[in-house]
Amino acid sequence: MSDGTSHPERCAALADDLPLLALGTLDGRGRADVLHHVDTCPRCRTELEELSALSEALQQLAPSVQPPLGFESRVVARHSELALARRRSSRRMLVGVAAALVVLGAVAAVAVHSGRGAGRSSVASAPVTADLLADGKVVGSVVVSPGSPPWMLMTIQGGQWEGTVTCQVTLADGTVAEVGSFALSGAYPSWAVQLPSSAAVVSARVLDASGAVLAAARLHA
Amino acid sequence: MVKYSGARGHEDDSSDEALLAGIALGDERAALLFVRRYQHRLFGLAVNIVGDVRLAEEVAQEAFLRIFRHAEVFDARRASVTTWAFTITRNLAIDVLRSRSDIATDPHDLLFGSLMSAERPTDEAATGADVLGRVRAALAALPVDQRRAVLLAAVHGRSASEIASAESIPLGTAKGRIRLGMAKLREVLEVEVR
Repeated sequence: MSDGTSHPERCAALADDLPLLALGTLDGRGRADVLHHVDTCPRCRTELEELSALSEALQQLAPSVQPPLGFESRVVARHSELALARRRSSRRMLVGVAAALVVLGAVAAVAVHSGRGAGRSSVASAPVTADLLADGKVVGSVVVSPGSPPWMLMTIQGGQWEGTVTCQVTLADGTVAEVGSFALSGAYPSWAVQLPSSAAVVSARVLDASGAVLAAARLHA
Repeated sequence: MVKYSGARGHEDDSSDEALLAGIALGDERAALLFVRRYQHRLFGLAVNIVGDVRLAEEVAQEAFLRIFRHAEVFDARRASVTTWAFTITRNLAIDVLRSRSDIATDPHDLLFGSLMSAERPTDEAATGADVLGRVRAALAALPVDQRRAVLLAAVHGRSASEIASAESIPLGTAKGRIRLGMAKLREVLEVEVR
């Protein structure tokens, strides 16, 4: 069906519907018509992409509002209930998911300063972020959370190295543990893993296939 | 070099992506931090759309649960965490609105008013690096009827026919206002990109 050509009369006929599709307020039939046209018209496709980005920005303009008292604890409690139920019903599957968890794609673990996090939490369990350094140069970042379960997220700027690397950590008790091997791909290769122990991670290293250290991060002095 | 230490740092310094990674691994603490970071904005969006505090709480709660459930498949190459979270919340809120014809929502409220009466944009806001600031400034520069139509559709999730009915205008006029308003906002962003 797609012949790659534009049909100006169709573009004009659907001009009103393109922004409605981007805003997510077009009904089924109208959606189908516009999507079919966009499939064959590069100009309208570009316009739709730009309008969609605009639509996303517009919805973020809604003013912030304080939710009712106790909202955050209700959400977290409900989340825990559901997570527990899921773990019970499919424990085996979850193990598989955790093992295969190379989750996040193009991610720069840039710290966001919201800076409002007072409350009942204990500071000791806060995630720690450190730069990943190679020859004194920052090549990525490491986030370690001693939460339950303890986990680590490592992000490396793309183009540094190729192939598969191994990630190793040193714990506060001196134990050195290998936490996994990961293929580097994309602009910001990134992976998350569950840590073998809740002992504080003192440092983390990225090793190449020969065991040479490519980059390292110090998390606790 | 340690940027943020557990012993003396802020608890809320992790990136959104790092928190999602922790949530995917079952870390409840990461979930709590994520809720704290987003609850005001997502609840604000939900209450703007459904116009009812109790329903908005249900929407926002379900949005967080959905985000947590899908944390492990979040793909940062497709969208930022913020965009993803807002889209999930908005879609849920619109679903609720569509399924509950008995909800009498009035977009002529204070929240809507704060966007409708956006102060005159400063030169700095209109040309700054902050995308939201530029969109807000461009919005304030739109004719009032176009600004209303765009906001009713974008923030309140109203369809063109609902806007036509609410504003007592023909459907074609409602669609035209949205198209013209969106086209002008898009121009502002395009200029910035170049």
